[in-house]
Amino acid sequence: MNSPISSVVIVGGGNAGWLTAAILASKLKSKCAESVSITLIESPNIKTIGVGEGTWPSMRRTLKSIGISESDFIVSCNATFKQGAKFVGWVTGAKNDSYYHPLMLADNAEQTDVLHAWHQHFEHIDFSKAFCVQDYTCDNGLAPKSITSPEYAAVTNYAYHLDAGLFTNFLKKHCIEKLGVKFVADDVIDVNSSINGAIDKVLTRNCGYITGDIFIDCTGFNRLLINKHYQIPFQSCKHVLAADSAIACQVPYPSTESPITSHTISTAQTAGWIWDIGLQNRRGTGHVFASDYLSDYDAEAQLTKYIKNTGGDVEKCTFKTIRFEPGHLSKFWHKNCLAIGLSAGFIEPLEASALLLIEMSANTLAEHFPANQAAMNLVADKFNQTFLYRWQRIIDFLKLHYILNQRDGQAFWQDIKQPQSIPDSLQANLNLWQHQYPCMHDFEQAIEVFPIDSYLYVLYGMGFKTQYPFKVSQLQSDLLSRQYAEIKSNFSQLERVLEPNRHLLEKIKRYGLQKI
Amino acid sequence: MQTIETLDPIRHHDLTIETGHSEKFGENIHCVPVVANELNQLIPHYPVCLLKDTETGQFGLYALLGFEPNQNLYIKSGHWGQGYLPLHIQRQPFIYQPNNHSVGLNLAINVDNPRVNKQTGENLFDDNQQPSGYLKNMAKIVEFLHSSLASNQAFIQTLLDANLIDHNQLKFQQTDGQSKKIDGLYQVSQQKLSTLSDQDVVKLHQSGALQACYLLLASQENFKKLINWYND
Repeated sequence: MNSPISSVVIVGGGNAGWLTAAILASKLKSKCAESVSITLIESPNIKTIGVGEGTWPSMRRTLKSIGISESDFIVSCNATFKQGAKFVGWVTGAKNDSYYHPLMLADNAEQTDVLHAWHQHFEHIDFSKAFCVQDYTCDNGLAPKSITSPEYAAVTNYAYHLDAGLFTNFLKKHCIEKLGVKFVADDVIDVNSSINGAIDKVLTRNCGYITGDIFIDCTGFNRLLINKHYQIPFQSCKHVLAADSAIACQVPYPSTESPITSHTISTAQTAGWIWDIGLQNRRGTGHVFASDYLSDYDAEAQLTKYIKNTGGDVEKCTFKTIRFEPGHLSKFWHKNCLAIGLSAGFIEPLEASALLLIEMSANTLAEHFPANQAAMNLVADKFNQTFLYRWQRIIDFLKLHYILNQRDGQAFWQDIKQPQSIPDSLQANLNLWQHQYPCMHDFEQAIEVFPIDSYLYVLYGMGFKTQYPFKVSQLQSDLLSRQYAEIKSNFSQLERVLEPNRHLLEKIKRYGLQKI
Repeated sequence: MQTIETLDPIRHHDLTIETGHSEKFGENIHCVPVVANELNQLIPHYPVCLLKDTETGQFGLYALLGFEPNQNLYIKSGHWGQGYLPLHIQRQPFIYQPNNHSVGLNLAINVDNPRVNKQTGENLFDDNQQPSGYLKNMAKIVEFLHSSLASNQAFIQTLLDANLIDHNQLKFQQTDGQSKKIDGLYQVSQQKLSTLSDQDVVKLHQSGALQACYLLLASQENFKKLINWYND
């Protein structure tokens, strides 16, 4: 019970497996006096799903912390810069219906009176335009930094779009060559438990038994350890978020000089939405939809139409259909087994939460790494509590994108905003926000998945009304006018420094970014 | 503007090059690229820093001359003050061009340079179409500068590999009491230099980089002079 945890076995590769391995290997190295060995078993026969081509800005910290050069990452993974998401057609579906959820925090949004001044007198200016400069940089397709910015440093906050398959290979190479992760290419065919029910070892087809103190299930929808072995039940959230299918498609650019969009574009359809992200060499698009409302045939037809309308050549596209049950495990860490990645759960990729949760899970595990078996259950309980909370926050936040829609006459959009489908935690917040503006204290945890600003961008981007009963003073109005003018003048300065996304990416390929 | 022509005794026979140093030659610049090979001569006069090229993000060595665009504080009453002039300034209006057999010197000329005229200054060729003493001397400067580029690049790479460069914001008080901040300057980090392992110190020393690091650090004293001039 008291012997230290000295070996971690990760079952399954993919983004989840290799990112977890990298984070654990680098964090535990600096934390533990005695080294913890990390082994990753990846089946040579199972293909990875490769979802999650969008990240949050946290990925910059993560990559830096595991010792990766940003230039290498960008070149190797066809990565591009992402400054936020543009939601098209989510409110009414009318022609000019769109709003931004940028990644920079909203200026002065912690001041209720500034929010109130905007709401009362400046609603004709888009919320994101009045509080953030990134509307402008996104609209103009500008990169979030310049060639003189050091690696991972931002002029405007950014995350990445990346090729998930290339990212996996890149991480794998880094883990094996730089971080000392032991790699076993083999299939796990059996799981052996000890008397207390913890996993003792796994049997591989060709390499015999592999023992470990902690086993991490990164086997995707297979859930080999956490479900097939431990039968941990799954909590579906399909009654909240109905999307359960996706058709993905890679779209080539018309030319090698086509501009690269600096944000994700999410365009609402009759029973779901289409994602569109620009990599260096192609766009990644896909239609996420609810199969209860739309056939595969019609979903593909809508995607085809979208691709044609956005200048893509449908002849060069192949479509791949993915089914998923939206939801997550009722418990992520059981005994000495922890699920990270798709095995822990999956919901529609509306706010790029998949890779984010992998980073959060692996970081939490590394920071609260159990010292010995005796500590394991206590750490596991805390982990489960934290991550159930986080999944709920993600579900709430994604649901928020749907419930303010006014897309009348479409069953999917009507059903998804029915009160009985809205989680209590979200409903409680909405009730509150009808009377007063959202603030940090509306949330329980110090480390939230999404900052309060994200809620503001979506709520007021979609036209939510807060009936705050106080009058706006001239002073408050002036404050907001000034802020709006400052944002505009800030942009005219940025315009001189920042260049189009593709230009900067080409320069990075040629010269690289400096570390300092 | 630049129009580069391969130097030719017939075509360029009647050209003369005005010498001296002042704003009229486009020398009102706030920094000038330098090479590690001339650090010894530069250090008594100029603060030398690393700056990033705005087009490529790559580091280069520069002597700082001013704190505003087009400000060269070394030019006083229209003339560049006493002291050593960076090779990049000395070589104007010539540039390196290998294998120019027509003059036997590896030279080309920027005929758009304001020094170039047909009335005053140094002749390029004598009456026998042979390079003048002035031109031969210029060729030496250009060739030395050219041959110094590779070792300069190697020096910067050594600093990068050894992780010795730090961002170095310059902050000083202006005469009006306001504080002025200059960003985008990079310098060898004294702290990182002092924590190098014995082995790394020896390696740096053998490559000549260690001495250059201390020359760069010593050159920072010249900022005081520059700030005084700026505030005058």
